Order: sequence, then structure tokens, then C-alpha cells
Amino acid sequence: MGPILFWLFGSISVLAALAAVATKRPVRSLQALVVMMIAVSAVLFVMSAALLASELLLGSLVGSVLVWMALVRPGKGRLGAAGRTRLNVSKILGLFSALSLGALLTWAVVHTTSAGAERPEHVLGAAFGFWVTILLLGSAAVTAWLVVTRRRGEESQEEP
Amino acid sequence: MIPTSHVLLLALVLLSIGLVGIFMRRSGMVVLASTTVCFGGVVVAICTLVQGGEAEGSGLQAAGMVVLALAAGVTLVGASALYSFHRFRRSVSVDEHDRLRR
Repeated sequence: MGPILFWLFGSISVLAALAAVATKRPVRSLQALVVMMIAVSAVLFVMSAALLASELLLGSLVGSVLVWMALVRPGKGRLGAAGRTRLNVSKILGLFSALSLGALLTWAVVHTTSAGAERPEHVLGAAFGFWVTILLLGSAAVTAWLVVTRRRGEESQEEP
Repeated sequence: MIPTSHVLLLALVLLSIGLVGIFMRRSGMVVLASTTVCFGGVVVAICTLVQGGEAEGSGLQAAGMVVLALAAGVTLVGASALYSFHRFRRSVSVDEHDRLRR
């Protein structure tokens, strides 16, 4: 049963990857890419790498929803909508960074606090990874806040 | 248990499709999508080793997480560079990214 499911989702991912590369319209390419990511995460689930699969699924779904809401939908199916797009792009970058690094932080917390004597020791230790993740998350949040604040200032200067 | 050769074959196919897209296509968004396809192939290849055992698999899933974070970073930076270029030239064709040459 495992190999059949593996090749079922694997062939879907290959077809979606071909569609993403072959199409000329950016929106179609992004849609095919989302299908490919979902199929690849299903492949990872079949291979019992549930953690990686859920991370991939969450990241691709959240990213595609954000891109769709901020860029594609206002332009009626075309990328590069007019209006306050710069603010939308800043929000997308900040929010996606915070979400992806937040998922990493959650994983690091769960991994660090999980008990078990047979837990493997990594090269630099789990505590090192934990603090590095916190540092990355903090720097992403500060960068997102700076970008959004600066863009807001530029928008308010341009309006009058 | 999936045979290792099957997983590596799927990873190789995905990586090849992504590489073809990177080198053959001119639209910046499609090139970014092809990069993400390549990263998908790499993650599948890493998962070949996850099947080995629970103790080793945990550490290898951490390596896969790093690859995913790298893919997200590359996509974000590429998308922002494309967006900035689109503001000045009204185009996302990678053939026109030659301003540093002048």
C-alpha cells in the first residue's frame, strides 16, 4: 500500500511541477506550485516524516493565501495590483517570515522539552538551536515592524 | 517502507524539472517557482534518510527544516527583488535584469 500511495502522490507532484514550469502565466504557475507542495507534503506523510510534512503544508498554504489575498485578488487574476500594493508586500514579507520562523520556534520548543534518554545529541546542542531560533524570530519581527513603519511613513507623505 | 531508489528517483525528477525551469524560462515568477520545485526535490531526498530509524530521523527532520527555511528565505528575497525591479522597469523578465552591466 505504501509504494502505491507514494507513487500516486509522487506522480501528482511531478505533473504539477511540470505545469508550474511550463505555463507562461505567473498566476497559473503559482497555483500549480501550491498543488505540487501539497502533493510533496502528502509524499512526506506517506514516508512518516510528519513534522516536515506539516511544516511544508502549513507554509505553502499560508503563503499562497497571503499572496492571493494581497496581490492576485485585487488585480482580478493578475499579479502586481495597483494602489497600496507596497504596503501589502511589506505585510506579506513580515507576516510570512514571522509565521515560518514561528513554526520553527514551536518545533524547537517541542523538541527541547521532549523527554527521553535516547534523544540524539546534535552537533551544537538543542539549547543552541533554541536560542538561535529565538534570535531569528526576534530579528524577523523587528525587521517586519521597521519595514511596515517606514512604508506607512512614505504612504502618508505621498498622499497630500 | 518505501524503497530508497523510488524516493531518490522522485527527488531526481523534481530537481531536474526545477533546473530546466530555472535555465529555460524568462519570467521571473516562473523562475522562482522552479527554484521552489528544486527545494521540494531536496526535501524529498533528505526524507530518504528519515526512514532509517526514529533516533536518526529526528535529527534529519531538523535538517529538512533548515532546507525549508532556506527555501522560504530564497523565495522571499527573490520575490522582493522582482517586485522592486517591476516598480522601475514594469517587467519581471529576467533577461532585462542587466542594469549593473551599464
